[in-house]
Amino acid sequence: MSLNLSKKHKKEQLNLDLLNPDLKLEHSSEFPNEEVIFKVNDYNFYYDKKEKMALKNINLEIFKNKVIAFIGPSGCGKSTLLRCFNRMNDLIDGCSKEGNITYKGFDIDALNTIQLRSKVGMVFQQPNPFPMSIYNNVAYGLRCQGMKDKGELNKIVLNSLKDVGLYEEVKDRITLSGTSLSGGQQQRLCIARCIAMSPDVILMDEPTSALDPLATLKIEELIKKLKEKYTIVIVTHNMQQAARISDYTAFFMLGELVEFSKTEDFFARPKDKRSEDYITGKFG
Amino acid sequence: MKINKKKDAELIENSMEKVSNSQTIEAVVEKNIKSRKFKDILPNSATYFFSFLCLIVLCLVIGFVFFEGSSYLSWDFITSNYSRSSVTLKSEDNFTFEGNYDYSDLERFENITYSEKWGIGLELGKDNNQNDVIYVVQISENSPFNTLIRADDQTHFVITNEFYISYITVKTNDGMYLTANGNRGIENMVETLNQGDFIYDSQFLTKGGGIRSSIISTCLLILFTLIFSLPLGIGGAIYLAYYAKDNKVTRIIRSLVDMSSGIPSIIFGLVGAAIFIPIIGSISGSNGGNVFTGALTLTLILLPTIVKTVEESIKTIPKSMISASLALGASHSETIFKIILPNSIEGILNATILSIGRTIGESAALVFAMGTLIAATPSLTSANTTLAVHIWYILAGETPQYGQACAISIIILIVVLLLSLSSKLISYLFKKKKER
Amino acid sequence: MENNIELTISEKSLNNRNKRKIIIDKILHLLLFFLILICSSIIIVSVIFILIKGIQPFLTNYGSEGEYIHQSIVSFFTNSRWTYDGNGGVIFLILTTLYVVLLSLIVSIPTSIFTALFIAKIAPKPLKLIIRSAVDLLSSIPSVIYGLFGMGIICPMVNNIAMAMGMQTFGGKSILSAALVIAIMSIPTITTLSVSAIGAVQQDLINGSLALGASKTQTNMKIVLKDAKSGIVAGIILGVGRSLGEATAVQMVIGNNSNGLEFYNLFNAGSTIASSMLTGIGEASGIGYDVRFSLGIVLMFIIIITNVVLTSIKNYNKDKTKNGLVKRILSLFKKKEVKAYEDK
Repeated sequence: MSLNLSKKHKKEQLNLDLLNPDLKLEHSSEFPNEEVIFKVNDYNFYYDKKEKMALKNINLEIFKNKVIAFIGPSGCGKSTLLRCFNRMNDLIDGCSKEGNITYKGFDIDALNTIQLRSKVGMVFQQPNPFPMSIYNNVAYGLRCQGMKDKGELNKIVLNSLKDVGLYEEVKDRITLSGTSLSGGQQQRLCIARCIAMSPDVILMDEPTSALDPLATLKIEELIKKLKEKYTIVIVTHNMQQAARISDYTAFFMLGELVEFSKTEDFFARPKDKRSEDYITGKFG
Repeated sequence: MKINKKKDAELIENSMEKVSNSQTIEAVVEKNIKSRKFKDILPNSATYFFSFLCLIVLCLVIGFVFFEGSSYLSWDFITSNYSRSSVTLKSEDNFTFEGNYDYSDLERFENITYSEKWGIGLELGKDNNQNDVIYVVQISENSPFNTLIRADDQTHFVITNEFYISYITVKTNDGMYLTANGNRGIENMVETLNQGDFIYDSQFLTKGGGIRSSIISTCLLILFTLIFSLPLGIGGAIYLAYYAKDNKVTRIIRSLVDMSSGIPSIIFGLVGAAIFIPIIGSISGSNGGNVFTGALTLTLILLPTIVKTVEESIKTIPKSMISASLALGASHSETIFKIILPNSIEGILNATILSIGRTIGESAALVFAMGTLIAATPSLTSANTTLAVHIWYILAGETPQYGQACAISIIILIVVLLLSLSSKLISYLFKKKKER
Repeated sequence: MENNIELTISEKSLNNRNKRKIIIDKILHLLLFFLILICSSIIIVSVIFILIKGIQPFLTNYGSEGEYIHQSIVSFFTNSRWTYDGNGGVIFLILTTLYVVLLSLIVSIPTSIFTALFIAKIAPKPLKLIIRSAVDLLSSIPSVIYGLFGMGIICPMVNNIAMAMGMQTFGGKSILSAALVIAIMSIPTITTLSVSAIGAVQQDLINGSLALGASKTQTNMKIVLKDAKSGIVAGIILGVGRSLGEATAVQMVIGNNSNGLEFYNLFNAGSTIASSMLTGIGEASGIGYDVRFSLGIVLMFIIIITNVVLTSIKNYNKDKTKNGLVKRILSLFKKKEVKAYEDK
């Protein structure tokens, strides 16, 4: 973590209000039916000590229990924004930011990163199971949080594996290494690892780009199933995928948010010329 | 894995109550978040603790060596021989003390004690074991000391200021014999000398305990080791990196080279003693170990390292450069000499530095293959020893000489430090060159 | 016309030159192959010579005038004392060697792993540079200087500890001193290899752990070390190999007690195989010299066996996906554990 960045941080602390189950979420002004879980306000993000601007003046809302797809040409900042939601960018040296992001109304910079990351899960581009057994992979996050009750742990692990549809496939191999699974299974293991923490939001950074079409299909079905319980933000290169699975689509270009609208509207009637060009394949 | 179906169904039912599940996690998080920070402190501080332990050990080693050795380290120590040479001197048989010699040519210094009768200046000094001894530092031109002869062959011998007095026995004109020992102090010596009129018997010694021959032997050993090992190692590395195809023979060769790097040096010492001492002995007529047997043994130890280091650096040469050279019609040998060797110079230099470092530090193998005798004069074909074995030898005896051992260690440490600095410098320079 | 002739001449000379080049190439190829053959045959020749010279004391007669002196095979494997007169036993030398190295590992493994973790992941930049150079320097200090350091600092220290505990030592020269010196000497080896193993852990894996809400320390301890395990174990194996064969430094601090029966006592003087090879070499002759080659065979044997055992342990841990017999049995136990959770 860069030193100057950590100095700028407000004092991190555990926010007990977040634990309150009756916490009321505000409704979006643009889409009044939706509850806002993440809100990005005038957000700028820089790499390399402000030499490279990655995000320009982003204003965006993430809605509860919806799938939101981030699309755009490579290098447009969509992955950067995704990593801002659980503050994974803090790990990069020399980055800085302006503006703020709120999670359920609280500024994420004021939240304890551990608390934030346990509520905002992340799935990466390359499946990255830990070099331990399948069981321990799923139990890892819980154990890190200090959960010791074996019965409880066991219950959550099995449920998570069932939720991602992995249980039937690996129930005989649950003590074998997570790296022994196939690519698609590994990615589902990573999702199981994530939902074992019972997060509110799952961030997915191109989760299917390293997988074959069949495995991709399984993951997409899983995403559709998961959105009943979780909010999902997915970065994808694949416009068809965005159209298939997402409720809302955000289109980014050169670090700017060009358009944010319902997925049907976005693909049928893009408001912006650049979105239209991108959808019709004129660039990207 | 068979699962009790009833329990399974229960489990699934439980999982439907997602809310309760989520609450338990949050409760756990809340309960543990403060203690977690404390739990993290322990392993974190362990890493700090152990790292500083390493640092402290290094400081202790260097500090100990410098603290104990620095007072022993002097130019004399480096340049004098280990063995003392002694001369026994006496006055000529027909010598009679005439009195009233002209000693006006003696320049007087404050810290030198003079024997006005004999016209010599004596000074308190130290030998290489840090004992107080009396040196003869000045002799007047007219002094009877210039006419002393050796007791064994009756030849004239003039004392230089390398010699200190072990003892002197003088005879007075009334036939009395008086002996002054060097360790009884300078006053006693001058007094005794002034009473006597004839040097009946005396012994003078050089300092001894020095490391001149060991230093020279070490340098010779390094030179010959490099001469033997570098061509072999570089040649082998070129073969492995350039010619070798990935087949069974190559794999066997590679694993053999790898294996020999895992064998401890003392085993190679035995091999050197068993193979090279007889061979070199039959060629040069030498008996026992010498610089050549040591260098050949070190070659055995160093070859795997040299092969590996050079091969690694050859592998970093872009394949395209080699193919371009071949495509221009250059033969393989031309490619090797004009493309591969010049571009692997960094690896070769590193291998050289590594070899020098190992040669200076190696002790166990050389004890067997080169011997432990600390010679008076360094020679290629007779027994010799290096600085590291010198340290081992003077510590292995009944009375370990820590001071001298530390003084030699200072020299070795400085060389080792310079070597590691130069290897850093080399990698820095080549990195810069590549960036250009 | 003239032009034509010149051309043919130059072509001819070119052809000749090319032929010469090809011959030179072939010679060079053969020469280099010969050189690498020499490099690789070193180990074979060495082993053969050590074997020949090492078996000799058992077979030849070293005595003169009707005396029959040779190394007795029976006492070689049964005698608890090591002597150079033909009746020495090697069993307790082996036990002492393994014991000293094992003791040293207790110190060197945690030190090396935590230091490597500190260098690779935790240290701020200036500290990282300092510790890294310190480890590099430690690795370049020759063993005889460690022996000197052991005699000058560690032995008195061990002596004081022993006195405080009411025990006698031979001026601090003891198995504990030897273990400490060996530990210090093997720390740089293990650390250097561990640093590169930890450095090779993929950032993806680390990010995955952090994104799950694990702290940096938890990630380092549970993920990074686990993923770097095989590299770290490789470093430990290398360190053990070197420690087993370390002669000079050990010989200087272990006290060279030929009676092996009390090797378990930390403050007792002992001898390892390598140190026995070195002790009294200056005055050795006849069987007293040649029997050191027999010790050489034993030393090589021990090193090879230790290497094989440690490597197989490492490989067992590495791929649990392959189902060997032992692994299957072990994984059965593990499954039972999980089942036990489920039954709750």
